[in-house]
Amino acid sequence: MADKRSHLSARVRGLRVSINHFRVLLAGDAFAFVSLALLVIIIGIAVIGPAYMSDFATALDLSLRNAPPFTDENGWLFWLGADALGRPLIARLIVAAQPTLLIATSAVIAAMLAGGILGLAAGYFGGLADNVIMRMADVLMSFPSLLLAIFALYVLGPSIPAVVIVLGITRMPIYIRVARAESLSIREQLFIESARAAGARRRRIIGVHITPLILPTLLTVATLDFANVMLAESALSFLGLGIQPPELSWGLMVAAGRDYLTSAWWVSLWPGFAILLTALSANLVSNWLRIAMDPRLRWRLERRWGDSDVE
Amino acid sequence: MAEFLGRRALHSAIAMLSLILFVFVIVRLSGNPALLYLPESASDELIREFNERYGLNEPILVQFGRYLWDIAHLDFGMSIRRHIPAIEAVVLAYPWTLFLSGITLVLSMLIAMTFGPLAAYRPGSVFDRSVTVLALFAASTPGFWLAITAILVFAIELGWLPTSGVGGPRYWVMPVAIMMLEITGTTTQVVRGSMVTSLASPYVKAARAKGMPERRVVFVHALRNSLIAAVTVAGDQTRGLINGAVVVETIFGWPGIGKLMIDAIVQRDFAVLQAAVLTTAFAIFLLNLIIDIIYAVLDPRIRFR
Repeated sequence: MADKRSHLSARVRGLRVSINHFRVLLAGDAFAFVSLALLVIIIGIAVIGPAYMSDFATALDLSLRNAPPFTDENGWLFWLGADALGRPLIARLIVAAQPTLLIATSAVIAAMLAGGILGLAAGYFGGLADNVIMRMADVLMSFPSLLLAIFALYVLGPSIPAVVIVLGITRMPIYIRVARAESLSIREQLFIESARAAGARRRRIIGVHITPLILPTLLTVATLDFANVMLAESALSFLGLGIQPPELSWGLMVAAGRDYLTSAWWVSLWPGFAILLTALSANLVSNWLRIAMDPRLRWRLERRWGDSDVE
Repeated sequence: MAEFLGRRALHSAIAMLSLILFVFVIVRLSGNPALLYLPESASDELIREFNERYGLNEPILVQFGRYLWDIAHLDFGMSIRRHIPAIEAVVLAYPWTLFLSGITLVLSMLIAMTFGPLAAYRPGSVFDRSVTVLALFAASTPGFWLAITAILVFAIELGWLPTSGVGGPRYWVMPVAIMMLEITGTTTQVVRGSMVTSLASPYVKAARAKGMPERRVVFVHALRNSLIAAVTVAGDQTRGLINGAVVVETIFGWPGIGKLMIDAIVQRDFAVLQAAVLTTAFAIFLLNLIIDIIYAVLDPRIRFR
């Protein structure tokens, strides 16, 4: 028992050391730091914002149709202007943040779980399972994702679960490949052999020894993928095949503003800006994370930290 | 080589077949396939007649056989809006997409092969980091939004370029530029990564040691070895091009395959949508096959993997 506790505290200490290390690395990279802060703010808004804003976001006021931005005369809610039905864009942007982020996150998690399990199975068991799974991944990989999504959503009808599933399926191959490659190399390691020699069952080997080692890599890929999935959902919604009104998403808002491009550019400009800002922050963070997680590349961040000391 | 070819062709055939199966299954999953082909106002009588004529009452395996047979004969049914065979509408649209994608691909390769090596020349330099940030920007920008913003600025406000349609060179500027956004960033990053490795190799040192001009060392010796990486992504990027074409063509009214698909969806013209998706899939699998054969010719190691 005591032995187990000391083992646990060693792990906690190790975790604390690596978190500290990451903090130092993060402080050294202004881009990554700012974008992580932005991302946290955007997620915070998406989580708590809609509760306060949903009433404003749907309140029609036809006297304020396409009200222009940057004036205080209609109150701060209208500071970014209003849409064609006189609804304040600030409120609508905040309310739309939640579904936009939630759909992208769910699709990424679905793809990561399904792809991770399939890839692990392919790598660990090999043989026929490997062949079938990898061929499937190849087919998905070589086919334009948007085409697949358009076709499936047209036939099945657009709904939020359908969008999540379709996006998840199109992103699966990356996780399959990563999980397969990792488990293939881990399977051959000595500690797996010793676990097997000690009588560990297959389930234990996969669950306790292999999965924890694959998970960080999969999570890194997932953060990298998040922006892609969000852009794909936005494009689908823009084309009218993703989220349907009266639901809200940033892509849909851009589409709604398209008809008023000449008279009210702000209606479609802001939501597009929100997509760009979120995707860029996510990409910068994941780019940094990829380097920070890779011991072979980490020196780049460390050196930069050292350089700024000298300057 | 023959064995490699056979194996690769078999893989492509299996891929194509599983895609057809996917389309077949998903169409049946939707409930009643006849409703997809027929207008929304179709009467029960019409639906029954359609089911009768196209054998939709027969066992599922017979249906699948018939489906494969029709596809093999490029028979995708009639377009209910255009009153021409669906395949004809698709064939008419293809050249537009091919030209658009071709020009985009060539231009973005040129950019990647200029900026990639320059960024790789001093990894971590201001230029290198700017290129990385720019590439990230490109990868984070929603193309559809940039497209309509560009229309607002360059067509409506400044009046320099036409808002949409096809015609002289001015009609090509915005569609090509937005399509390039989709792929140039990644291609540049890949060339850069491969150039970092190339530039650190002994043969580059040897070339420098014998007094070769630096420009020649970078753009001839090192770049040539990074070309394989560039060509590999170019193959992958065809998918990105098709994805981009759907959005760009819809916004700019470009009469290519992407607009055809979206129009088919809006008009509920299922035969055209299905013909477009399946022929595009076929074209992509064929292209991948050709690329793989080119590799095998270029690099004998690949044949024996």
